[in-house]
Amino acid sequence: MYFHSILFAPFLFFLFFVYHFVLPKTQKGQNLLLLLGSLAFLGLNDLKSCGIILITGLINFAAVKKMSQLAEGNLKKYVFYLGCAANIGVLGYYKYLGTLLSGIQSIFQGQSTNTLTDIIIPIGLSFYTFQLLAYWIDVYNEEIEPETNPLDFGVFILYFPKMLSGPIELYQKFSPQIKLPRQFDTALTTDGLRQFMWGFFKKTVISTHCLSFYAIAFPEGQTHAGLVVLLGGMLNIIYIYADFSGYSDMACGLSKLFGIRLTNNFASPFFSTNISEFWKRWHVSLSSWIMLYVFTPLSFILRRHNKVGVIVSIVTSFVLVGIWHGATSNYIVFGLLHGLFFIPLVLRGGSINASNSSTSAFSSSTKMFGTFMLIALTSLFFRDVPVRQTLQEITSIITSGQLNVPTALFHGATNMLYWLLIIACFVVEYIQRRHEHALCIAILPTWKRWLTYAIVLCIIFFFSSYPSDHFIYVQF
Amino acid sequence: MDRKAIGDKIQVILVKVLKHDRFEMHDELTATMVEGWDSLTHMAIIAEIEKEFSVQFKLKELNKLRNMGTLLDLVQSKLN
Repeated sequence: MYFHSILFAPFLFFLFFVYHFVLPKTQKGQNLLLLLGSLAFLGLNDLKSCGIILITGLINFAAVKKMSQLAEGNLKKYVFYLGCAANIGVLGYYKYLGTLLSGIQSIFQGQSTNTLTDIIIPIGLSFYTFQLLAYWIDVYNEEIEPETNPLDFGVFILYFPKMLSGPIELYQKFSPQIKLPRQFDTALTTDGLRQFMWGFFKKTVISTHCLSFYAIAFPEGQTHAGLVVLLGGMLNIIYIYADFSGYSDMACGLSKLFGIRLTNNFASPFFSTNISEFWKRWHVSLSSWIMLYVFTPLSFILRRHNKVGVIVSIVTSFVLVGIWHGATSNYIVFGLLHGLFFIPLVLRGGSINASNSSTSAFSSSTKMFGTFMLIALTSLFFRDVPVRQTLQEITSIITSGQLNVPTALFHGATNMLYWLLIIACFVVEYIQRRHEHALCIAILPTWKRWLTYAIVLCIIFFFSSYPSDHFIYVQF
Repeated sequence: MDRKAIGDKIQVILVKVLKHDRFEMHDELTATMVEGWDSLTHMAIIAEIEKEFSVQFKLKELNKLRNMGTLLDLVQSKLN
């Protein structure tokens, strides 16, 4: 049961109605309902995940509380290390062990007979683990006080809008919002519905049609060469963006219905003029997490090594971003390349040039296009094909000289209409790039707002399709 | 050393690392207000400050910095 499935609508309506119009407006009652609703949501998706997350959540709650009561010293340090290691261990067992063992087996025996690859990762475990690790670190460093109320802690870790694929929320940002009773706020609710609608449009219209175009341009099981690789990369990254930012807009929008603001995961990333800007706008909650808990401590340790220290820190951080997606060589190469893309910026002295106001529109557009192409081509490592093949395909853009773009992509009025919709989506996002989301239209006159709703709803009604019922990032 | 003298030395370090002087020193100055003072240059600035004043920071202390005023206070507390 995902946000865009039919079953989710009555579930959401029931929860929203009881939350705002049936329950007395008490903090405890609202949090209890959110916890029960979240458990039901998770249980309906995967009962086993629900059990694992509930048990590990309770252990973490008690352990962090206990650790915070210990005096400064070795014991506290060991409990902290043990707590972090245990959380990483659970994630490692479900997410990485199978892949690692089959990799080792393949090296020594030529093929893998490892059954651990069949282990199914609990829903949202990577997102959930990163939230818990941040909580452990911040309590240990005395940045925050540990949560003493198990109900509030339960809402923090299980809150259903962010459970499937984030955003990865920090306790200090999320928790203050659930410490007081929440009143029904018409403006926030309306804004949430608009954001949800835009996310729904990106997921069911843009992402699905990009995926079908991608399947035509880049059929599975073949090695591609020439210009089509460029097109495949572009379609792939737009598909990933529409799917994941669509999910994130839906998650943030839904959360606003309950009076809670989540981190906006995307801020028009394709309009970035360099890789540093891109990562400030793409999967913001993950990149901020990596910045806070990996890059900053590492660059602090290596600060006396000047630019070499920064480069080592940034490359390590991005390799970790790659590994967060999966333990296969594809993701590691993806992370490594993104880390290496930062080297010119570090050598040049940060992102000074990016913010130079005297940069011409032409120069900005060229940089935007260049950054987009880098991102598009590296997105090809997200496919389940060997790294060597992807590298060959990317090299072939220059070496093969083939200008082979499948004409089927542009045949017929329907396909042309889908292309127009994809372009229109990005035109709207560009116009609205300084806003929280593309449908921030509260300042428009009523008739213009309702006309916008009508247009978006009509497009969803006539052009949405459901070739896949899942979100890409649920697998991570 | 008084705050003014510490501030002047930090200003010289910022100019040296960021290669421009398009900022004004005051207690409310934050990194986001200074062109080029981002995560890629931050630790280079910190390392230069440590070298200039012969002090050592802890990461915990740096995480608590909110603006130039708090940085000046931190350096001053280390010198006293």
